Amino acid sequence: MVFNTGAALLDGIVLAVVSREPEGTYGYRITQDVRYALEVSESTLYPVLRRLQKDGCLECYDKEYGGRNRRYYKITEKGVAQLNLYRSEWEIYSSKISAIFENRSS
Amino acid sequence: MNRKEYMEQLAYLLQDVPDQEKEEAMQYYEDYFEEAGTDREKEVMKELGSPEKVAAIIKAGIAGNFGEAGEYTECGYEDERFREEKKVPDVFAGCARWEADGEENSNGTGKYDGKEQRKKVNIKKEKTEKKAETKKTEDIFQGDPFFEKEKRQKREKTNTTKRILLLILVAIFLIPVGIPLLAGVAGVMIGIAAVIFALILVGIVLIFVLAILGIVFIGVGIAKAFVSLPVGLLCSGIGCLMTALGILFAWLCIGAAVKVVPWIIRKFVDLCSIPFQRGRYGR
Repeated sequence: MVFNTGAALLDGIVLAVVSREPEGTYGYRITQDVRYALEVSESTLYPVLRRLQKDGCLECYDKEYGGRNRRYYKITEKGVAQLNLYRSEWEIYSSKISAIFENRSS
Repeated sequence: MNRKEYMEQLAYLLQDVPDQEKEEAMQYYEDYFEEAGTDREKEVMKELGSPEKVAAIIKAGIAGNFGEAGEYTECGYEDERFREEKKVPDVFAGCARWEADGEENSNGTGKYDGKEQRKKVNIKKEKTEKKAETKKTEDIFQGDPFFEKEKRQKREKTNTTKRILLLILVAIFLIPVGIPLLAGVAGVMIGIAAVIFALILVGIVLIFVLAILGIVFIGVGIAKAFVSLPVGLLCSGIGCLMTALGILFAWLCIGAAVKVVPWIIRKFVDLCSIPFQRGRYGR
């Protein structure tokens, strides 16, 4: 991995990963999914999840699994709006970079 | 260290965090270990980093400082504030930044020696916190044309600030001589302004006088013409001349005002900014 990820991009990625599950998903799973694409340290994700939750983009609920409680994160409407914003921003950003790398004018 | 010790250490480090935040964070990581399973325990501890690092990241997240000063790399979250003194684990061997660090440490086995690490991390944290800003940018952008230009601009800005400070200092020292001098200069300038103003006034008055008189004369002349033609013609003639002169004068005054006043203002501003110039024509 040559390029480093900024905070906003990581927010977007986490939101996208969580949005894949309509019923939400739990921290460990989210971390594994994100690390599938990006090599970030596992301790990095907690503050991101916490902030997204505090901002209202994710909501939590507990569900029992195998005799213990699991905390699930689910994307909210605000989260979906934010995710779409990130998606369109990425679209613009990545196409500009691609144009430069491919030596096109725009 | 095993999982239990790890979590106890983490709990200890999170003591100064609000209870609810601490519980949530602890719960998160407890769940995390559970999901990973006992056979991945060691691996998880290695990938999470030391309890000190995790605690610091949690605290920064609570304070809202997370994600601003650092960036996410394949070596984990790279933030100078959380950099650890630890021999490079094999997993990170590919990261040039970690290797270039080459910091000394006591054990390379990957085991966490709590007290020792804590001491080192605290010292290192203070050191890097101070250096963090300048070191990071300067190292990365050395030789970059944009950055060099920014550096130059910053330098020029500090030079200007220095000059201003110097000027203020000189001004303070010159107060005893300066105040009467300044008063004199101000007086002269007021005098000049008054003269200009007076001239303008005179000009306006003259224009009006000429114009009005001119018309009056024309009128009188026409009247006189009925009595005595030559006299009347002379009168009207003079009247026309006066009006014409009045108009000419007015046109000249306006033209002068439009040109001269801005010129005066510009020269004045130039005079005041002489101390701040750095060889306008030099570069």
